[in-house]
Amino acid sequence: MWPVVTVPLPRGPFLVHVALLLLVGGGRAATPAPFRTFAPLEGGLTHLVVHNKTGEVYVGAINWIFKLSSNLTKLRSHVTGPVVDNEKCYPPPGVQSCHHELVQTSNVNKLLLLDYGQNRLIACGSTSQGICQFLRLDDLFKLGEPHHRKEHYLSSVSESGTMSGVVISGYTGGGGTGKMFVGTPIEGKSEYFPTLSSRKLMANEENADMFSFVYQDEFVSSQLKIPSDTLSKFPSFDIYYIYSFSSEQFIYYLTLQLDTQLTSPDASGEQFFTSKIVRLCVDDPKFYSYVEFPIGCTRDGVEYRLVQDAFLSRPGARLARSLGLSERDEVLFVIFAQGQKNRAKPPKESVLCLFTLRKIKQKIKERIQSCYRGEGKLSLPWLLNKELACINSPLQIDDNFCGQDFNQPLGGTTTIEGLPVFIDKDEGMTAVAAYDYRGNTVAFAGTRTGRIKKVSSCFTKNIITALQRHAAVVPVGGCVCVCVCVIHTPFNSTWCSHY
Amino acid sequence: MSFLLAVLFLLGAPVVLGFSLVPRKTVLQPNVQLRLFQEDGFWNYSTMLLREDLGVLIVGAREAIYALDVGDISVKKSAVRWHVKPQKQTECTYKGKHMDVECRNYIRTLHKINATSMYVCGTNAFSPTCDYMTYTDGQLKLMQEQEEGKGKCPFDPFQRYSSVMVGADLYTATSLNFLGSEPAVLRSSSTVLRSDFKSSWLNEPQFIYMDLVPESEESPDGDDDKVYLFFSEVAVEYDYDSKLMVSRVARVCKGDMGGQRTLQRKWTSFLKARLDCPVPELSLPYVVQDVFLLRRPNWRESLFYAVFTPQSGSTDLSAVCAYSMAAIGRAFGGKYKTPVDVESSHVKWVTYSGEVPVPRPGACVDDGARRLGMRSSRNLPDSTLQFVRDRPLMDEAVHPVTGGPLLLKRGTLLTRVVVDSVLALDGHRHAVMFAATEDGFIQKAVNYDKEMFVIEEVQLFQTPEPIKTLRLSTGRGLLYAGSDAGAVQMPLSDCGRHSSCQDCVLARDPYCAWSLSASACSRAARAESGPDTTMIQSLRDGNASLCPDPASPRPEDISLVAGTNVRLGCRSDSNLAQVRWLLDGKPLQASEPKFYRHPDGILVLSVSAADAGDYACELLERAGGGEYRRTQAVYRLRPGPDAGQEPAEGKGPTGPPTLRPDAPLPQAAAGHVTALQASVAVLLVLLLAVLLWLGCRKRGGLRAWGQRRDCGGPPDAAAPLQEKRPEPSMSYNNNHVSFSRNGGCRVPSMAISSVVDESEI
Repeated sequence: MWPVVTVPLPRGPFLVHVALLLLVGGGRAATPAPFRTFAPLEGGLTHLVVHNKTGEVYVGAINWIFKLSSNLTKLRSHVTGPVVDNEKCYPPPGVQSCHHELVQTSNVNKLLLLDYGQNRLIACGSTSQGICQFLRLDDLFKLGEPHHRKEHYLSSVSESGTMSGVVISGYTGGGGTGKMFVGTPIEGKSEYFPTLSSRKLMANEENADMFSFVYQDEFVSSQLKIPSDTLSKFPSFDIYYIYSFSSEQFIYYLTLQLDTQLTSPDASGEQFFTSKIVRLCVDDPKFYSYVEFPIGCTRDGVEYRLVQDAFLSRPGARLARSLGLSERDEVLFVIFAQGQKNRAKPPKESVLCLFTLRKIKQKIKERIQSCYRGEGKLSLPWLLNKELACINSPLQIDDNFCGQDFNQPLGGTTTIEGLPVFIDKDEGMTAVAAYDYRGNTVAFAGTRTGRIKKVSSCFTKNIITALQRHAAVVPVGGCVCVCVCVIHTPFNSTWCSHY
Repeated sequence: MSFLLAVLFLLGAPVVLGFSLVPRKTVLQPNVQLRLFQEDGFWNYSTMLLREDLGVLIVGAREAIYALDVGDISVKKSAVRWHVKPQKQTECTYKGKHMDVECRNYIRTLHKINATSMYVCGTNAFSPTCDYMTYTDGQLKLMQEQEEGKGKCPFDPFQRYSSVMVGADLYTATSLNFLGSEPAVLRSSSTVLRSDFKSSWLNEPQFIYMDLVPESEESPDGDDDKVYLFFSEVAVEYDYDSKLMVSRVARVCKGDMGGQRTLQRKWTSFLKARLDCPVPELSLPYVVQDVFLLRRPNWRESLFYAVFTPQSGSTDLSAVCAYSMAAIGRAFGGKYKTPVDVESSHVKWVTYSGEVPVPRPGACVDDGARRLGMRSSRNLPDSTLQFVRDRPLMDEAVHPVTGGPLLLKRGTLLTRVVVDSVLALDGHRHAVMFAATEDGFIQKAVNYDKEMFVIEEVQLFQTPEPIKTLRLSTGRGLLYAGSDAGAVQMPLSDCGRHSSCQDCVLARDPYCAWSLSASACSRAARAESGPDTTMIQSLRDGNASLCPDPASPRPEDISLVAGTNVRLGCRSDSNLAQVRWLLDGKPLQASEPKFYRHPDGILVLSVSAADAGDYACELLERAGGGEYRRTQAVYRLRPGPDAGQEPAEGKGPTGPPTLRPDAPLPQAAAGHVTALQASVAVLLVLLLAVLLWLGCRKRGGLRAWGQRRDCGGPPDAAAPLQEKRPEPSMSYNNNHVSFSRNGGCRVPSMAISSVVDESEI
């Protein structure tokens, strides 16, 4: 296992997930102790993004959006709530009167995305069935808040950390139209909300086409709905989108969802969950490229299957070498909690695992190839609700294959397993970030108790953290590296478990 | 010997066992009344559009569309080809489909748009495409405006599907994707509506038929026109360990606009009910295969006729049931079923007894709803919409008129049906059913006061093959049938087939009556002035006593030559008639070894002077409680004046009545030998017959006379044995259609040949 340094932080209900992004994005702000913090009065920080050029930090919170400097000085703030609303109203009361009682409702920030191409922030909230605001990056000036069309409501689920999106910025030449992939739980309302979709991002915030599906005809569109039959069988079925990223021509999602194979449809029975990695081609408006695989980690015979957070990173030179990768390859750090139960309150036994994108892509390609040889079934019970056989086809499947109208959507039958890097049995890791420090890959894992575990071979560096009540820039302190080398394949001997 | 004879008689006699309905006449190929159209290299003549206004029958085949003369379809007026582009075909093979089977363009949709133009869709190598087509100046022309055909035409050329054009709107029931996994009922119009993708709406359905009923006509409560859909699907309401198919009728309102929030762009009026067709045998629910709407000027009197076949392999009995608009309306106006969770992992559908929201879920927007301020389905409240979204299934099944099938058929299964309403001489209307079979026959049948009566069966295709399409031209009195091999036209009636008044009246064919003036069986035409006393027709009773006493046929003299066998011809013109032989007025004993009966008469074995006498062949036919006899032939057997003389050849009504002995000579000893040889031959024949019969009995129960061709009777050359050569290669798609099961005693050519054929392609 990798060496670890634990940074104690003031106790409190931390949302370390948010904080860890700062470790990477704001890493060069090497301010000495004490921690710099940002603590809005109302608290409730939910999301945080760091501008890749300016290092400025955008923070989403309940009823607020903040813009901070890289050293967490508040530069701007923007109020998003509370608003007069009732989550039972569909469409939102601003569009049509609603017979449910309207009350002052807090607006939880659920999605915070930087649209570099248009120099704006996309901040989606929980009120009005999940409408979004466009804020100018410079001053958080509200550019627009489209809410007149069905496509403008993304989901009224108010639980933060369950919705995830990726912005693909438009080319300047292409009229500025970009797109946004968004995955969200839907709380049984599959009639209103797709769980996964790709939407148009128009240059003009008032453009009626804003958020409309990238493609839509009478039969096919850029969206995936949870089938009614799945919801009839499993009324609580939902998909929680924990992390998403784009890599090469693909969009990936890490999700948590009900395991329909293990859970009995009986409402009173125990529920089991599973984590999936989902992949779509960026340029596949019909979603024919949809593939999902179970994903998890096993250590000493114990399964860790509840994804908590993930982080896409490039390996440092040493890690790349030991994994047989180039430094331009990508690796994915993922935190899983143990077992398959208790999505809402995962056990504190958790593991930090490492995946290489190369292996994930290889597994997916092999699965597609085998299906195109006519082997097995499509194996996606929650989406298909029936067994459909793979069809033998002479098509050659290479790395860039993006699907056909047959042999899709496709589910993997074996779990993609990661390499366990570090296990924490006491505090419950909930967030992860990583970066390359002078050839060494350093991973930071945040815990439910508000501490940060720094996991690497060796390093000295300051880290920044943000907490629910305050964000902070933290000096890391001394690193104790005691090598107890245990060789993991395919890790070679230079990568050891330390404690 | 006597046992064998008895067995043979059982076989030969028209045994009507329960519902083993025997057609009164069997009309085999060749049949000069039929007209056949087929073009070399083209197959699957399975889509038809009758354009009597243009004088053509449009036939859609594989990669071709034909305009055929509506009066004689063997006359091709024009044709267009619609081939698949090579690139499409290649793409299709990439998807694992067969280049020369699925990756072709099968015309599946043909609809009238206006006076000259039509809408046509083809599967186009699993990439459905539609186009406009005109017929002007005797020329068919495709407009080459290729449109997306998804949702309008199936991907799979062999998947059942249905569509109907209502005004400018195309209603379809088909699968929406390549996989065939997304079935939907949809309307392609300015407001596209479709069914919800939910198994409580459509659960692995097979779509059969769609049609419009103009229910807004003279509706007291301002009701809407409705489109009815017939289909079968996997049942949700039964506890059964494996997948159980049930038949359904569903309907949507023409004016449905979908919901505002709930059921947006979806039907708000989709309701379905189970179709019941109770056959008189204990069996699993029957599965609907085809439907025909017999329209009446008042839509309330219209009837849906439906062909049903058994759930896979349970029996070999198929049926036709008819449903009244009132019965269908009762089911849709009754209680709903609702899903309830029982114990773990099991949903049961039970009668919903809770409160039903107002306006009634699934009802069309009528005056009642309009009074509540709801002018369109978009104004319907969520409570109504959510109810119908979650509970589209009605509690009560739709029961058939008369409570049971109007027609049953054992053996080869029925595939399609059309019905003509015929005005009989007595002023009553009778529904004449034309039901097609899997082996290329048409069964023409009527139900007279719950009595099923099959007037005749007509062989349309020489080689047994399923009839896939039927179209009726009432005006021209023609029936058009399509199969994989070709299209055939048949007159609805051929009265001239009935040679005598008795035969004509006993035929009980509403189209025919005996004309006293013409002394012929001719087309029954009800005169404006009232009943025509010169025409005799008795449909319900087949009362042949109305006929003038028939003149007895002129006796024929036959000189007997001792020791030879004499064949006395007499062929029955009715499968229902019992043939009886009289010798000098006394019935011949069936058990007597002297006589061997065969379908064309009798053989008097090894005659001697003692056999001289008057032989009369009498047909005995029962109908409506009466028993009618007619003498078909009379032979006068007399000892010859000169023993060495060759026996005279008698000329019976149906051929040479005598059989020459093998060696026409030296009497006594030689005659004895011949007689012995003949006896041995006859015995062999009998043995074969018994074996065949036993074989049949094992597989399909006892067969009646009319179906003997299915079971193999005595191998008499004159018996209407059907050719049983294997299917030609055109039937490769048989195994894709749902009804390619072997009928009872048939040579199992279907299944085997289709497998063989597939490998040939």
